[in-house]
Amino acid sequence: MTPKAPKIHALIAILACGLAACGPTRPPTDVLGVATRNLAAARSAGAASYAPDEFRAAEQHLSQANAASARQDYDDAATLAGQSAVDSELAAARTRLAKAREAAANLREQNAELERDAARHSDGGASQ
Amino acid sequence: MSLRLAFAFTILAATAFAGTPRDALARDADYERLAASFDSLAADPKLGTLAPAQMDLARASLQAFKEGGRRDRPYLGYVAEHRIEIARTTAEAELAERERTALQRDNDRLQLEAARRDAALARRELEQQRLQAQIRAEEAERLAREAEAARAEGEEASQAAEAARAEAAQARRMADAQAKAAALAKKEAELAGSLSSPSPPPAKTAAGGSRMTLGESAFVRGQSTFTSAGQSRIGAVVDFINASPGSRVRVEAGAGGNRTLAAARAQALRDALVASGVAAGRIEAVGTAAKGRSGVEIRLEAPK
Repeated sequence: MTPKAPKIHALIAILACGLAACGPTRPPTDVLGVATRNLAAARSAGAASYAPDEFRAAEQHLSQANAASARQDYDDAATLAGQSAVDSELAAARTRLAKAREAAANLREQNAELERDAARHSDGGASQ
Repeated sequence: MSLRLAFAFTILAATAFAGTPRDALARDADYERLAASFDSLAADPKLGTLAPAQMDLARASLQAFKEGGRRDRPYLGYVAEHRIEIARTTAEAELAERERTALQRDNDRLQLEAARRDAALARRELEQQRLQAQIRAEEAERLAREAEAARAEGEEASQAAEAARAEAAQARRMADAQAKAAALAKKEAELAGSLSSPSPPPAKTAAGGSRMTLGESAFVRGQSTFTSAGQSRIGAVVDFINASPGSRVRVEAGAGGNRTLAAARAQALRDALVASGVAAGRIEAVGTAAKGRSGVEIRLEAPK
């Protein structure tokens, strides 16, 4: 914490008459935590291969957020972490969609095969 | 920090002097675009209701974008756009998952049908094999019956052969009896002749090798001693020998292959004959090991 911070706060409070424009003075641990957890969830879901663009954006935003937090730019850190969090969520959603479609396509193929088998057998049964 | 200070002043100035109305901000192109996107998603008959939680979040983020300050607009716009996209994607995923579930149900049904078909096929095959096995069993039974019949026939044939053999034996016995009768008649005639012209060479009379037999029953079973029946026939044997004076007497005993017993029996009869007055020098007693022979044969032979 810089010793100047309280002074600035007081000044802003006075000048802005309670306007909530003051910058945060502590790292946005909650937003960073959410972004980190979301990214981990997306990674374990396989987003790196199913939604590479979104996943990369999430990684970049999170690393930028951490960097911003490290240089005490907490405002930017919170913004970037928030972006990373929605990036990860979108990556996870896209992964879920891709997996569901993949599974559906596989099943459709399998079912078609099974139906062909059934048709062949009923033909075979009739000819026997 | 001086930057932050300057920024705070700017905000203050913006709100206090520029007085840009929030409505104007809200109606800007970005918001319109995002709101239209959200509305079209909400109105989508398929996707509109599939991800209610994400729709709520998207609506809230859109609202925040609408109400957010100028400074936060890029960030809030980013979030709102992403939230709408997340809601859409989630709804699409939900739809795809429902489709997958339906396909899985179809798949289960089809697999079950295939399994039933396979089972029916296996049952049919089994039934066929069972029928074939039955046919084979019947065939085997038929063959067995035929073999049995053939065996019975063979038995019948062998019975017939047996009967034929018995008949032949009977015929042989009859022939033997006839031969014996003839021999007796001849001997009688010879005796009659010897009576009328006394000095016929006895060797002549025994030329055919006349013989007499003592049956197995003459001896105690397994021994060389005479039974009472055997004892009573010794006299007849002596008479038979004496009828051909001067002839040599060959006593040949058999005991079903037991040479020792046969020899002992021959010797016993010899002793009995000697005791009855037959010259010991005339008698030759032997035991034979021939299996088929039993009883004693007394043969009169011409003197050497």
